[in-house]
Amino acid sequence: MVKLTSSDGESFDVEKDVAERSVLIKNMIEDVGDASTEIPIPNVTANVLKKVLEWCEHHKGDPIAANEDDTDARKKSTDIDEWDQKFMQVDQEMLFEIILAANYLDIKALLEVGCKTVANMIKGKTPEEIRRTFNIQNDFTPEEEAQIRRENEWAEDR
Amino acid sequence: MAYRTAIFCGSQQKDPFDCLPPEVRLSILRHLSFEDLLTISKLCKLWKDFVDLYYSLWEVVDFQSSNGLVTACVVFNSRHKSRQFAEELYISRDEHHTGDCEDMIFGNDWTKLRRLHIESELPVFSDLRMPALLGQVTELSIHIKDSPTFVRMLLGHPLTQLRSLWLYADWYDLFKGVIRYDDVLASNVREMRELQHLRIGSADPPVNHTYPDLLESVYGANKLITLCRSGIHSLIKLFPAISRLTITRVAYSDVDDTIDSHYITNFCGLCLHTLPLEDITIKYSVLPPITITRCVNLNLFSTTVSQVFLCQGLDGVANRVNLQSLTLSNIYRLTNQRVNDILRNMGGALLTALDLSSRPDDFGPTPFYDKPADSCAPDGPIGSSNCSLARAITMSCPALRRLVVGHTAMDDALREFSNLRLLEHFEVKRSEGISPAGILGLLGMSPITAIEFGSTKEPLSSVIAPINSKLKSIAVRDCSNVYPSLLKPLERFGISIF
Repeated sequence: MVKLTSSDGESFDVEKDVAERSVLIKNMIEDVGDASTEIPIPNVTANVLKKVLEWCEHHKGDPIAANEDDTDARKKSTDIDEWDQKFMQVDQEMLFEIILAANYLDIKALLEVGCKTVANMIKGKTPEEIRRTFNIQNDFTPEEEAQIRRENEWAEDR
Repeated sequence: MAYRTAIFCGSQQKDPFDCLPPEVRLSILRHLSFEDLLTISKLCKLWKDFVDLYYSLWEVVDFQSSNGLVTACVVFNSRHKSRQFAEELYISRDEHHTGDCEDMIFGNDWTKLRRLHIESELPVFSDLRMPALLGQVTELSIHIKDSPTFVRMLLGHPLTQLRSLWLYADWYDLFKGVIRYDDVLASNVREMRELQHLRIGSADPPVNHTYPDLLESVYGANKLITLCRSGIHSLIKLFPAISRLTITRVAYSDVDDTIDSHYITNFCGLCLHTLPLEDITIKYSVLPPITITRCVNLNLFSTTVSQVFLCQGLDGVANRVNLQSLTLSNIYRLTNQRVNDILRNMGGALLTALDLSSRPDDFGPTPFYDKPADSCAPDGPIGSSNCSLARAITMSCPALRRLVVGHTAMDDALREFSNLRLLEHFEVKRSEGISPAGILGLLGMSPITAIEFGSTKEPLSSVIAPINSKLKSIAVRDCSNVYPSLLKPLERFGISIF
């Protein structure tokens, strides 16, 4: 068992192979050489860490991709398996927190699922719909917008 | 490692992407299609910069459909990879890696390739394997560089499957005064019997560029010749099946002709009229009169046609009953009175879409085009004192389903429009002159399901509560004077505000 402490001081006891889905934690355990030491996770709050560990628990048996840099394998499609889809049905704040945590903890597969989920929220939408979804402020001046329209004309108006 | 975890800190919600590290944003972009990337580059500055960066980071960007197959690929550089499922290939400018590009192109099996976009002039296109590649392409776009030879060479291949061809130039290339479509469409270009859509012209210049100054020197020297009589003649000879013609920023000139201009005028009109054109769009261009017979959709934007065109050409258009969609936007010297005449003269029974709005940001460079004063704008004040245009529209085009008017529409004009019994989409570009009561009156009478307007002279709140349930979409522009809470009740109609 490994003991992880979130940024807000909550402790989690986790099986070693679950915790080691995170490359960061795996390396830390190796560095420390003693699995019983408490490992602080200073950038992740308890509610997010709990969620991330839930994912790690479910995926603990998954084979870790042999070549993490193989972009082809990662780009295959935006299909997400059913369990992960349900797992990602959280509010937007949590979704982005999970992505940030996965990135920080270096859990590639979870990061991919998160990115795919966000990509699916963007796909096929209009700029206005995307702005509303993510509360993005349009900071272009009308002149800049007109210019973008022109720059894109070659691709859009076929 | 500097790292942010608090995304929604404080009461001020921020763009969540702002907090994501670049590599994570990149991972998200990888899952998006080319079209989606175009969309998100319009969101805000942060995203635009990032998408631009993304392009520069990736030497080869593959775009995939939902089933994971590569459907398009942008080559900014070179990388050897199998893409036998790609349907689309963009070859973009990279002056330093042209040699490798050859490998990239011919090292691949492109059996599915249908759409090819060539932005760079590459030596590779003299390759003997090129004809096979071109022979299967249905859509081709080519950037015309200084010399038309390259394009001529490409078009000299048998392009038996080609349905759509776009020959374009950068706006600044015009200043060089060397782009002549006549040269491009010269004799060794083969006839394309299947070609349906031809698009010629350049993209628009950046807004803040001192275009007029530069243009003046070129224009004054008669160098801005892009389409001459021989060019138009080539059109007819080479593309007998063409049904769609799009011309952007093309200047017609008769400078290479010795015949008097009146003859040329008639000649060009006659020529185009022998083509089975159904869909014509002309933007920012100076063109001779075009007589149109079979045209179903005619869209003219910021186009300085000769006066002859306005007097004869448009009336020629107007007398044709095939027309279903007509756009007259920012047309030089097109007055309310002329629009009035055109509409009254035309058998507009089939017309279902009419757009008379001017777009202030869409004016061409001044040598091409003088901004019309309000009095002569095509959509000039449709006011209570002058409802005759509104009446002409209502009387002549009873089948209108979509109507876009520009500048100012008074309540009286709205009352006229309520006689359009089939109207589904109504749009007013600038609507200071109308009151919510006017909008309500219109909504009460016609089966409108979509409406778009700007700020009105009275607060919007009064129009919101009793609004008609037929509406499916409402768009309100420029409503900074409206409290967001007042717009809440409109949400069920899919309101968008910009």
